[in-house]
Amino acid sequence: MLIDDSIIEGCVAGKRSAQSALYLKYSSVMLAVCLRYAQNRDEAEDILQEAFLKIFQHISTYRKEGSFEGWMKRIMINHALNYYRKNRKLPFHENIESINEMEIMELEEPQAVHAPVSAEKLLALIQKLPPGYRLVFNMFVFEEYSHKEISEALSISENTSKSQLLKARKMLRNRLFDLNILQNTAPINE
Amino acid sequence: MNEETKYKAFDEGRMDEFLRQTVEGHRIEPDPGLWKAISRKLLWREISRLNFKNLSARNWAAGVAGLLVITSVIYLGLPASNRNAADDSSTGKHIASVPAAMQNTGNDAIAYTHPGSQASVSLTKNVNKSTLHDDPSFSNPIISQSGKFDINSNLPTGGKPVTFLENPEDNTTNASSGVTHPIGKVSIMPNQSQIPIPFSEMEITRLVPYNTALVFSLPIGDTILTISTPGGIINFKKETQSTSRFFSVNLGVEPEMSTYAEPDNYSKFNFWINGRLTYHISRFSIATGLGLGYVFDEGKYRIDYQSRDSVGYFTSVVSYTTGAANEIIYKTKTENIYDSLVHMADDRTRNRYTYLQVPVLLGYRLFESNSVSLTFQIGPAVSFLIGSHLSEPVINYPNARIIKVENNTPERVTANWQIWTNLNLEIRMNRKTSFYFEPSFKYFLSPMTSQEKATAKAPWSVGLGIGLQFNLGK
Repeated sequence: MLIDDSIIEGCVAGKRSAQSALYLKYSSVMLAVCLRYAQNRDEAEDILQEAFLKIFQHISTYRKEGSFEGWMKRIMINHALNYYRKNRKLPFHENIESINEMEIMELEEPQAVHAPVSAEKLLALIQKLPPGYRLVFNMFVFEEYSHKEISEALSISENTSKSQLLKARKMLRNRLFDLNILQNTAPINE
Repeated sequence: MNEETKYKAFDEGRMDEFLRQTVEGHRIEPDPGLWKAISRKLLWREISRLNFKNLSARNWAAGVAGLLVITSVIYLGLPASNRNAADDSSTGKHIASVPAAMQNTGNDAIAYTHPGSQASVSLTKNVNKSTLHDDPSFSNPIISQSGKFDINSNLPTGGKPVTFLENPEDNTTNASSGVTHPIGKVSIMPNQSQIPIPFSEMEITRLVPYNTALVFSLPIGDTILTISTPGGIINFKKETQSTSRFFSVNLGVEPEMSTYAEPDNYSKFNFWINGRLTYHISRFSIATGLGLGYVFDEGKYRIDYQSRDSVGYFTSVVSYTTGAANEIIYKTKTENIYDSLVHMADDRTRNRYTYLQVPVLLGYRLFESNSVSLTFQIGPAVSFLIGSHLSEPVINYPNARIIKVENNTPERVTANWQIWTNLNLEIRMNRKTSFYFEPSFKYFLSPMTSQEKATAKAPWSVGLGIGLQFNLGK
């Protein structure tokens, strides 16, 4: 998604019309990002609102070195993380010192088949994950952070990050199975 | 639905990839009210930083209306007595607390005047022969004494009393101190902490019972004068400065000179018709209003034209004849040589723009007397461009073909902000009406034209407002 430089320049100059144009262009994509981190839509819109205010405030620091959308997304995610740090204690209580690597491998084995499913449905499933699981899962799967980066961002150990991811995947997979979105074995040609 | 259509192969082999592909880039429209909330928060944040450029005309109208409503409510909510008390404060009078027992009991007068640093006290006694038991020495029923003293230097610390003694025998003042006269004694006691009373003139007249001892003391704190008598103590005090609140309306005109900065340094004359409503609270005031202004500026045109310019001449032979001696006689004419040259010319015109200006000025009265006051005002003002009259360039090049006329006049922005400061000198004709003279300075926070950069080219202007001020409810 390309953005006209004039919109960014307008936002730097504090023009409301440019800010409105930027919001119109990105708010729907960014809300989907926020929804992944939030527990419900209200929470997601709160995060979106505060993050947009931050974006307008700091847009002059955008140096046009990377994609603007990526820059915005990073602010959204950081804000979502801050939101959870401020508003609730993250339940990263399971600090597993040693994760069974085989167990992880097993979980990451490809499932056989999946049914067509809407993004809304998957987002709803992600939202139902416990906050700690959800944060780590999102950061690892969608933002492709490493466990080291996640541990630094959330001030947890790498092992905790791994355990949260493991449990998140397990929970999500079970729900996908429950909803018949995933099936264990269903060879196409059988 | 068979298995083949219901399920697709999990090609990527990983749930992560499946989720990414499904969810990434997905769009969900936020609630339509969300932008309004963001916009409102942005606006408050800007206002808190004194940035008003995103305020809409509606916001401004609402702000001005709100201001008017608030000030009206404050004014109308004041009890009438408060308003009257406020009115009295402007006269510079002083009040005296007279014990009830002493009021309306005598017929003697004590006058205390304080012109500048010198004070004088006079005691006037309306003597009734009957009260003096038919003393024949009081042929004149009025006995007056007076004296002057310098409140700044002539009296020593602690105060040696200056005593006015009435001599009933010869009706003269005996200034020797320490003599007690059975009829009366007036002493003026200075105080080290005395501060010259900041009024050019003060006069207090009260009837007090005439008695044997009247002691005057000079200012202590808010007490201007203390008179001790056997019947009680009379304290003349500065009147408590009640907070005076009133509105004033200014109507006037203001010629103004605007100076535009680089790249072209030049000044232009403007003219404003101003109407302002000010709410005064004690020394402070807040003012807003409307100004209709005619602002003049240069229009810039570049004209490209081609003209036939003469670059020389030659003599051409038109015909020739042979003369009588076989000489050849040429008939010639001078031919001019022209070159077709392309020229560029700048033409500057005088454009007129009409602005509507709304200031919000906070004021502080620096000085006030009965006849004049001087108030410093400062605040933001916004000007809206409501009309423009652009003059056409004058193109008068004979023997030329106009190729192109390029209008290089910078486009004026529709709204710009200024910091406006002025000194309002009010000269009172009477209690309700005044002249005002108001030298002012405006610094524009942003350029007047959209083609200029904000940092270096914001203009400034100086003006002199003159007009009438009507004080309402004062």
